[in-house]
Amino acid sequence: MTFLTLRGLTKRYDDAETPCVKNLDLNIERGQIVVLLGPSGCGKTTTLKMIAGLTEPSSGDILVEGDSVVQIPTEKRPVSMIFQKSLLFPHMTVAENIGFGLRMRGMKQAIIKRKVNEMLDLVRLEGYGDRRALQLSGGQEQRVSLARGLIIEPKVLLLDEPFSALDAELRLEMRGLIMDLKKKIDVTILFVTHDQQEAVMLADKIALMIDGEIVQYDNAQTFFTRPLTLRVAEFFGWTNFVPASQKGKTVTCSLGEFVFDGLEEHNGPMCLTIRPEAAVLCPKGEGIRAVIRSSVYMGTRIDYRVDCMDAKLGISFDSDQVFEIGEEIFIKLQNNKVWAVRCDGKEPCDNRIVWGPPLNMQDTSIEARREQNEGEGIGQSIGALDRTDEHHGGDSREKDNP
Amino acid sequence: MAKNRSRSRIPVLAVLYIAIIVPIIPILMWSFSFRWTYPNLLPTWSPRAWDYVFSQSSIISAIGASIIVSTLVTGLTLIIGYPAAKALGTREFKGKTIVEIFILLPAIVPVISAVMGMQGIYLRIYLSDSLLGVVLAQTVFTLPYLILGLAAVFKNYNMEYEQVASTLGADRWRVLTQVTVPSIFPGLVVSCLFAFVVSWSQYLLTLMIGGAAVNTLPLELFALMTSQDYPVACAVSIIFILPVLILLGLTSKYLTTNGVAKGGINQI
Repeated sequence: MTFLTLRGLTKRYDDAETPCVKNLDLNIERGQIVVLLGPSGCGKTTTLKMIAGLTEPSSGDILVEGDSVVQIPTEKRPVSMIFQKSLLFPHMTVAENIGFGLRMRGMKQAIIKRKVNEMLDLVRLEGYGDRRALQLSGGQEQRVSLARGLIIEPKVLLLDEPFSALDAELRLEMRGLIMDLKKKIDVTILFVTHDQQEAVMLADKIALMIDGEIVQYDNAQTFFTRPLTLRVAEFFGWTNFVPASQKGKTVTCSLGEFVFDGLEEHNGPMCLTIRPEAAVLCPKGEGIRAVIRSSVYMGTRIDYRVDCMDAKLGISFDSDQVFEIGEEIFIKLQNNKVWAVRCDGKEPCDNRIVWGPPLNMQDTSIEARREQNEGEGIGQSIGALDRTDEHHGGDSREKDNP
Repeated sequence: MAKNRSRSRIPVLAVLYIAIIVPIIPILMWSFSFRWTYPNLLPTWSPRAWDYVFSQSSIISAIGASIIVSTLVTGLTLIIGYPAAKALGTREFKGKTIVEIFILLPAIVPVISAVMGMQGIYLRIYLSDSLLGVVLAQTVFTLPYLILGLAAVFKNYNMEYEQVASTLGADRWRVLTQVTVPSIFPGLVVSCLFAFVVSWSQYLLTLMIGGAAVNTLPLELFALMTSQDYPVACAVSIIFILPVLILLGLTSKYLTTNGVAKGGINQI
């Protein structure tokens, strides 16, 4: 039996045309960390709030250990939620904040004091109990907020982008703390974020959510090796997309035929997706012929844009392999770095290159990367080893040679 | 920290007291005078006015009536106004501007033009000439001050505090008493002070609705003013302004915009 179950969970706000959470099904095992990953506005927070009881679902059910909690008021649900802001009560000390949930349960002062001290130890804030909430740093505040949520021993801990307001270094530290805590306490965690890296680091399983629907629910590795749709692939660093057709386990496109054992049957439009590091050099005359069109020096490697058969591809080589613009090379694609994905809509997709691992899943950055890559002839022409600093950003790292 | 804050309060208090205390000094002098005529710089002193005031049972009972009426009005205003202020401050809904104008109306329309109609209605429903009638009538005119004041406080208030509290096991009552009220306390106090002061100085409404049955301090004061006995009128004036001064003193630490606007978040 699964520990936390969402069954057909739907939320439609009165003034909205389409539901912001659509018919969500999710099963979470006891003690797992599941990350709900998705761009802003995709319904992640609404889902959490429905589980916490802060928002009423339009339809569907939420079960904890097999029992529906939908009718149970927020304050009686066996869940605890940590928000993006720490939301420490400003009129209380750190210890009073942490002990709040126990006071609400009418526990004895002495027990509360002991448990609060245990919690302070657990989040590495020994001796901070008497401080005011406003005298803490951002990271400390969020740790207090965690302690406050954990002290009531919830069955399910919900975290809504709890570290997105912290700087990068602190975020890493906090992720470490979560993983540490996980080892010490028996709690099932549902963690919401738009940060792909955070998701991969923390998750036993990732549920990728786009436009109110869970597109894929798998462990992190699967997202890197077997993405289901084009958008999922984009978010997990797959660079090239070439329109293709599928027959059984065979996928055909302008680059040739590929056979994938694990591929499921699908009737809609498909495309072949290729990781940039999939290409290996072949002796002249073997493999497929490609012509270098542009290049960007990236330090340890160089990203090339090539014309290959009828397709445009983005591939990268170690930076000791330098090619000139216009040079002809022969490449082979490693089968384990090529995969077939479904196009998200009904329409077949065009040949596109989306460079670089995404920094996060904010819609804007993905759009920006796409635009940058689809437009031809933008920017000045550069030689193979020309360095321009602006190329080192994650979002737009390529320029074309017209 | 505390030292710093009390220092920053000094100019606020200074302005408050110069604006309020200085004009009171001549009134205070009048109240202790027997006669104060030109060209004398100082009056001839006498406690006569104060003796008179404390021997008059009508004045003593007027003080009591005023305190009862204004306290009831403030309480009722808070009970009615709090949910309205919270809705206006924290939610967006269609027709919000119209609702706001409606709420503001009693503060815009002159009391005198409203009270004529109100008196007729109150007569018909047997509310005129009663304490309850006066309290209800005054509440109409204190509501806008409390609602709009408190709504501004709620605009700066993060509703997520309440959500956190309820996920931690606080029911609605405890969310209100242990989270919301402490968070907005300064703004709440100042808004209530407004309501109290508006009610405390209400003359026309009490006169028209209360008739002879409810005799508050402003009514007593007006009668004395017209009687030409200045020392006594001034003594009553002092009594009239005293509660307001005391309340101001007690709440002065919340009266800076900082204290109110941030809903007390910065009150350490």
